[in-house]
This record gives sequence, C-alpha cells and structure tokens, in this order.
Amino acid sequence: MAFRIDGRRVPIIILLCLSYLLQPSAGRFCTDETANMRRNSDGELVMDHAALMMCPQIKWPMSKNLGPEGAKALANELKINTRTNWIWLYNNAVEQEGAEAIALTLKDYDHTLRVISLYGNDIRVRGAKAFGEMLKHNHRMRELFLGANSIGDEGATALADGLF
Amino acid sequence: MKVNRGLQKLDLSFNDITEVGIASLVAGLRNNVNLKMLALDTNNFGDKGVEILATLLRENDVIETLTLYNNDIGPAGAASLASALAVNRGLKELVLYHNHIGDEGALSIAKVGTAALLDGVHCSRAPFP
Repeated sequence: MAFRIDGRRVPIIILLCLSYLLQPSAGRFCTDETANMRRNSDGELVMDHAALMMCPQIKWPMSKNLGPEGAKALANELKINTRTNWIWLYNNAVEQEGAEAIALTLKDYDHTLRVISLYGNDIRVRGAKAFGEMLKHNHRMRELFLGANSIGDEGATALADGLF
Repeated sequence: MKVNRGLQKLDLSFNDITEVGIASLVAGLRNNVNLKMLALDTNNFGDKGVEILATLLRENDVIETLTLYNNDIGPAGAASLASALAVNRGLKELVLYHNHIGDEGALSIAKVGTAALLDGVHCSRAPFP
C-alpha cells in the first residue's frame, strides 16, 4: 500500500516514520515547560498529563528546582502516565519526602519507567529505604542512580535488602 | 524467594558508605543475577570494604562494571581484588583511579585479570577523567 505525493509513490511505512520523527517530543527531552505545573482547585500542584503522555524522557533542569512538593506532583503523574520511561532529576532538592512519594508510586505502579536518576537530592536514609522497598516489588526498573544523597550505610543496607 | 529480577545498574557514589554498608550490599547481591553495573565511587570503605567486595566477585560472574574511584584503596585492597579476579570471569571494566594502589597493586591485578578485563581497567592517578 502506498500514497502519492507529487505524483511519486511513497510507501506507508515511510510516512509512519516521518510522522514519528516530526511529533513534538521526538529526540528531545521534556522539561518543566512541558510539565507546566500549576495548582488545581484543591491547591495541589499538578502536572500537564496530556503533554507528559507525549514524553518518553523527562529531564528537569536544576535551575527549575522541583523540590519535595513538585516531586509529589510527579509521583501522582506517574500513577497514570504510561509513556515516560526515563527521568533525570539531577540536583533538584527532591529531599526525603519527595523521594518517598516517587518510590511509593513506582512500587505500586510500574507502567513504563525504566531509568531514574535522583543524583544530589538529599534523599537520605528515608529515601533510600523507600527505594529499597520499591525494588522488592518493581521488577521492571533497570537503572537507579542515587549518588550524592547522604544515604550512608543504613541507606545502602536498605537498598541491598531490596536486591535480595 | 524475593530476588529483584529487574535492576541492571545501581549507582551509589558519593554516599559516605563504609565497609558496613558494603557488607550489606554484598549480602544483598549474593543471589542477584541481573545487576551488571555497580558504581561506588567516592565513598569511604577503603581496603576493608574492597576485601568484602572481593568475596562477591569470587561468586558473581554477572557484574560487568565496577567503579571504585576515590575510595582510599591501597595495595592491600588491590591484592584482595586480584585474588578474586583470578577466579572471576564476568568483570569487563574496573575503575580504580584516584586511589593509592601503587605499582605493586596494579601489577597484582595485571597478573590475574582476563584479557577482556584488562582492556577495561582504569587506574591512573588523575583524580577525574
């Protein structure tokens, strides 16, 4: 099967490839601009679900500090998001509470996310414990980057428990 | 059995982990057959921690990349790594720079590493690549 453009026959597979390459998110990271965080009528921060469903990869700039509350909004988004597979949150002050919210979501809902980096987010022992618990239930997560988070021996032990 | 079946890369660098944390990690990884990369750069476990890691490398042929830069590892740590590498057949990349294993430690590893591994050993003195 083929379409005609300018009198030439164009195979439908080429058209499909083109439509994939020309979609808004192709080859780009989605950022805070895509997420377009705002408060709903209950005063909770929420992210733009429709826009993030176009995003296989989210990279939050450090200059747009996500913070614990933003991390909770992200955690809520991940409960219904079935597209994102890669999240980079380098130096975003997610902290213990935010990390816990994200880990809890990943424990109960493992739709598509395969890689997450929380480098330099001060998630501490509590965050590490939440991620250790997540690893006991989530067998789809492939790569976990938790460097520079003051997790210490206690945190390492909690993560190791998840790897058993 | 509740072995995690998915995780392939775990990066716990810059986290103040001592030999106590390493011992738990080694215990946790004993039955794990998926983890291919373990990054433990700039922690605080020294030769004692490496000795414990070496016990894991004796049994585990799945881990392909182990990075240990800036961990205060001396010739003794390198020697324990070398004795484990004599039986390990999985490791392909070992990062040891910014430690003080010295010529003696480097030689002990060079003597036992497989050709595949020796291609991927990084142990220069430069602090960062």
